[in-house]
Amino acid sequence: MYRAMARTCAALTVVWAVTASGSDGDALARRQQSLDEQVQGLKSEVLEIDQELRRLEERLVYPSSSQMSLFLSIEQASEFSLDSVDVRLDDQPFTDYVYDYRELQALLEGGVQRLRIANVPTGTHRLAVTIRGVAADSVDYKVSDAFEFDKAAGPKLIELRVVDTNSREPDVELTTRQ
Amino acid sequence: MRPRQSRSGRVRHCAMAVLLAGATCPVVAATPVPDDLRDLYFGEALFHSLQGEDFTAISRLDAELALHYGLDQPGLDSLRYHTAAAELYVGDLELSYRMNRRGGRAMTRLLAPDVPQAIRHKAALRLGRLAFEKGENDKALEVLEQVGAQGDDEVAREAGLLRGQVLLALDRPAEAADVLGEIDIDGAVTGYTPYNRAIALLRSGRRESGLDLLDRVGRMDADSADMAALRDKANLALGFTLLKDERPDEARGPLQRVRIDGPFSSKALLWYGWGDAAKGRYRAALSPWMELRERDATDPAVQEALLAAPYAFAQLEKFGRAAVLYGKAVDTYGSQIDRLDEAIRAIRDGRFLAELIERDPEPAADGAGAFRIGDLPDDAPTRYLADLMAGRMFQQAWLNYRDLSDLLERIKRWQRALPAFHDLLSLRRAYYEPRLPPVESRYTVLDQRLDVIRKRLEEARAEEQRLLRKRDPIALATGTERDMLHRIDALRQRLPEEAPASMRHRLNRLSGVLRWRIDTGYADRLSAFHSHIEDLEAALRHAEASRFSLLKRKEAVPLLYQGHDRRLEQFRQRLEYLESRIDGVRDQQARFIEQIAIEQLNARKSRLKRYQTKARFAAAENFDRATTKRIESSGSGEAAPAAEEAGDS
Repeated sequence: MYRAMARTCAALTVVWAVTASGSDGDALARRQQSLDEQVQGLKSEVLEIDQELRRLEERLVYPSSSQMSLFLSIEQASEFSLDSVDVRLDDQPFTDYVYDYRELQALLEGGVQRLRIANVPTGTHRLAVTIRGVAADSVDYKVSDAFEFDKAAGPKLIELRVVDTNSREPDVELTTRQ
Repeated sequence: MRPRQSRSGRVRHCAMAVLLAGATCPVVAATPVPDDLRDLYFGEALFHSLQGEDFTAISRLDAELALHYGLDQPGLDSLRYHTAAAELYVGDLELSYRMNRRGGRAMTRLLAPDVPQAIRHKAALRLGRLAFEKGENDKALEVLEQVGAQGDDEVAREAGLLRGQVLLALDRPAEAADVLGEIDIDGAVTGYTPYNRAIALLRSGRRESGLDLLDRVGRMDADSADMAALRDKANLALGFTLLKDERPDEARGPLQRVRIDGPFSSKALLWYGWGDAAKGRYRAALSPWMELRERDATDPAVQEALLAAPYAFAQLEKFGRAAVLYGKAVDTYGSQIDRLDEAIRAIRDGRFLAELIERDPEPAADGAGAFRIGDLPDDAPTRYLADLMAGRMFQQAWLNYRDLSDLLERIKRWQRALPAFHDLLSLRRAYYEPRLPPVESRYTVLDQRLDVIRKRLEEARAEEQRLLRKRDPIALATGTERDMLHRIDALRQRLPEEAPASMRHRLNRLSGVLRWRIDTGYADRLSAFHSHIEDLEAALRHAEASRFSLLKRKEAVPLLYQGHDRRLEQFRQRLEYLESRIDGVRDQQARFIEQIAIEQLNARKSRLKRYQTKARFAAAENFDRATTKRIESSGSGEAAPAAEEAGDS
């Protein structure tokens, strides 16, 4: 019996062998930890410069006086699938987007997509929105709606929200924030 | 063939330690997404994080939080509804992005008493897990004390499971068993909790209870690959423990339950054979061992079976057959050693890392499991490195390498964007600079005119005040009326003494009518005067607003292109410096991956060489025995046993 167990244990050296002996393993772990610390530091620095550069980009390219951000969200309990969105501003193409599975899931779980950031002059504007997708009964839908909004001096936030109206197709609501 | 006792003791201890260390469950408490999210930028960070874009999500949410705290009135900001949730979320993202120091600091901040209890408990759970992963077990226990039994059931359950794991790591199995026994699992024997409790019971000496629970985990329904692997592991642990307790017959059942296509299949087959061998049933032991010999020769259990099978033949006194199989084992080990040498050369040449980079394997979702098999190249280095690649150190090293490559890509994107910023500034300068001087002169003229108007308005206000204090109808006479009065007065003075009285009378009457009209219209005229002042004030306010707007724009326009060049240059230098540092650390990380891979392969090679030496000696020994047996048989007139053995297996 002893011989058999000894063989069993010998097998286990292979099955669950650690990658190196104790002291070597410790040295490797210390080296990995040191590298890990350096990587964490570099990530922090890149995050910092990324934030600074994005702020600069916004200030340079989209000054606050003319800045407008367009967001899209979906009601979380919605049973509608969203395939694409098409937006026109003052009868000109403004933005369009086709969704993949991961993006749609992210929207359904509460994520909000920034569709576009742009410069828009002050005054009254018209936003025409068309969404396409598949309803719960697997029937394709296409919904179009148009909204007017005022743009004053200062950044403007507009949220398009796809809501479930318990009908065969969803609805689009628009909320603006100055 | 018999291992030295001291070695077997160490090996047995090592194997037991690994088997009975408990299973680490994946982090299942998902980061909470606030209901009724009112902050669009938080929502945008969620959108990125839910797609696995941790860097972008951290960058956005961290910036949004900084902006929120920098506001004069953060209480009016839409993030005010979710501040604590956003702090927890960004901390979770940092931990997910393996920024443990930052994530740990974020979680520590959330332990403050003014933070909502549910979030405080989640933060304590994260901190506990972080401390456990760093081996700071006492600290982990201390932090987990903050998660009370009340509150979120899932958090309390996870904290209990983690506390059990920590106590096992601290070699306090009896306490671990008690803690794990208190976790409400709805009476169902499934998952990591009962497995870990079984291990804790075994290690605390409550052997039969532990074996019984392990048996129940080994029979549980598994609805996922993780649970099926855990069930296999439970059966393997149970089988091994029973073998160790010299109860090989009882070990057969659990070992048979290990899935034939699962990751523990070869180990189970090997041990199943040892169970029979322990009872002296060498012929039965040959069945799993001979099957194992047909499997992938890079599998450690298969390599072990190459020695085990001829060992069984030798025990059955089939020495010729044993000698032949030992000889085949020598050849197989030799070819495997050659493959290992080739694999080591491939690593040294950078081919292994290149292959990894090209395939870019994703670690399993729990961050601690193996890579998805389909992501990996099906070659000797990968198969030999499977254990290493499933280990935490390798995965951490690989993920660091990948993250550093991603950071380099980001740096390069910004470096490509900087010239575009310069172009934008040049275009703006070229457009605005020639236009500014005319605007400036027009602004000056406008400003001077407004000054004049402002002065006149002040005079009118003073006149109105005077008229309100003292009635003065003539002051409100129109220009024509004043002119007429002047002319009447002049005619009166020029009128000769001898002029007819009727003419003087006529002039007096004209003057009287005019003055009477001015006098009787005084109230209306004063009111109109007041209205005109108000109109003028309104017009002036409007003109002042336009002037102010023009002034602001005039001052803002140069800011669109002035003063940015120096900042852009600073950014360029910072990006360049960061790029070189990231490149250097990534190179170190790559060398580290290669080093641990080569060390792993060398360890395997040493082991195979030892096996090969043992097989060579055993082959010679068995050949001698077979020859001796044949000579003895020939002497006694029996048939040649070697020939019989050849067809025996």
